[in-house]
Amino acid sequence: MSRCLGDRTLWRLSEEEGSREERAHVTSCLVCAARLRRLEQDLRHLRSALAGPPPPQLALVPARPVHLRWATAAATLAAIVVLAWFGGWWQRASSPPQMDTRQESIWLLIDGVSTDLFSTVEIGFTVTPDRLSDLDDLQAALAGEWRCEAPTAFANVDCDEDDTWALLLAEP
Amino acid sequence: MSQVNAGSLEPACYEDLYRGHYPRVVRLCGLLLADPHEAEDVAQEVFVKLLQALQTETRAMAWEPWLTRVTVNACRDRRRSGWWKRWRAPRHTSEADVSSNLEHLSAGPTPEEEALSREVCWRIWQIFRGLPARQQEVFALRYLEGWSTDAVAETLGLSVGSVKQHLFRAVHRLRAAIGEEA
Repeated sequence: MSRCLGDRTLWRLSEEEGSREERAHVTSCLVCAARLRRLEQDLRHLRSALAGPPPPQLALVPARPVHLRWATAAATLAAIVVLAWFGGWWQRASSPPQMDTRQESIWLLIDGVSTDLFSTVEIGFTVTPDRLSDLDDLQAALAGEWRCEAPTAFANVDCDEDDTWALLLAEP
Repeated sequence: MSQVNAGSLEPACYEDLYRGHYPRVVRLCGLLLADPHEAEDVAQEVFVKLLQALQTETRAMAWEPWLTRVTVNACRDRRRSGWWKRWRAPRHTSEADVSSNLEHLSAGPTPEEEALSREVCWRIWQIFRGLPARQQEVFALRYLEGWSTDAVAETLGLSVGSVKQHLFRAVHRLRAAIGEEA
């Protein structure tokens, strides 16, 4: 065996294990012999340091203490809150132009519909009673009491001139 | 490993076990819990269990490994209890604690301890605290209690290969504390 031994093999030798070749290598290799002596010395130091009473205030959980776990959870929660807030803000910031366009198109549609519904341009031929008194005149005419009948209609100021003339012209 | 036959319920037997093993159990608890008060507390629990076991167990038993196994399990239970973790965690390595602990470590040094600087001792303890529980237990039983690898494996319910794996990893990490000094 010409190559130097690994740490694990040296440790097994310190545990009085290992093969005969490995032991032979340690006796012939100065480097490995020094490494083995150093390992055994370190083990003695470790035993000595840990054999005494433990430091009273030394904590037990150094790898990942509970308060660090709480800090991680709090940081995660804060990140979620910030992301939610930013998402809401971004949505509000980007949505107004879309709403304006949509509202504008809606108002245009409403205007168009109202114009079409309530326009009087195309329904001028429709006769609608202008006055309520026309109904009275119609009732009077049907009853034979219409005051605007010729020839006295010209003298009556209540008679509509156009209607009178129309009646006169329509007579045979 | 000495075997104590405590098959009969005799006060003297409990007394013998108590006198012979209480300091060792306290030391093991202190090593695994890093708190002398907790160590005393758990050690007393262990000996209460021993008393109960002596009252019920009629067979001849090897009480030393029994005590060690119960001690390791009790320490593990204590470490797993949530309130204890919460109580311990905020006290983790403040600067004031470091200085007081260095003073504590300097009290009554052994010749080997004198060879080590106080900082190295402190670092060794810190790294030991950072080891997984299983590595701490294996290291303590093998190197501090002086048990054989086979006995450690039997007591902890592990295979011999697993014990060696834990041991090597623990030694490798602990040597780093000394290596930094070198």
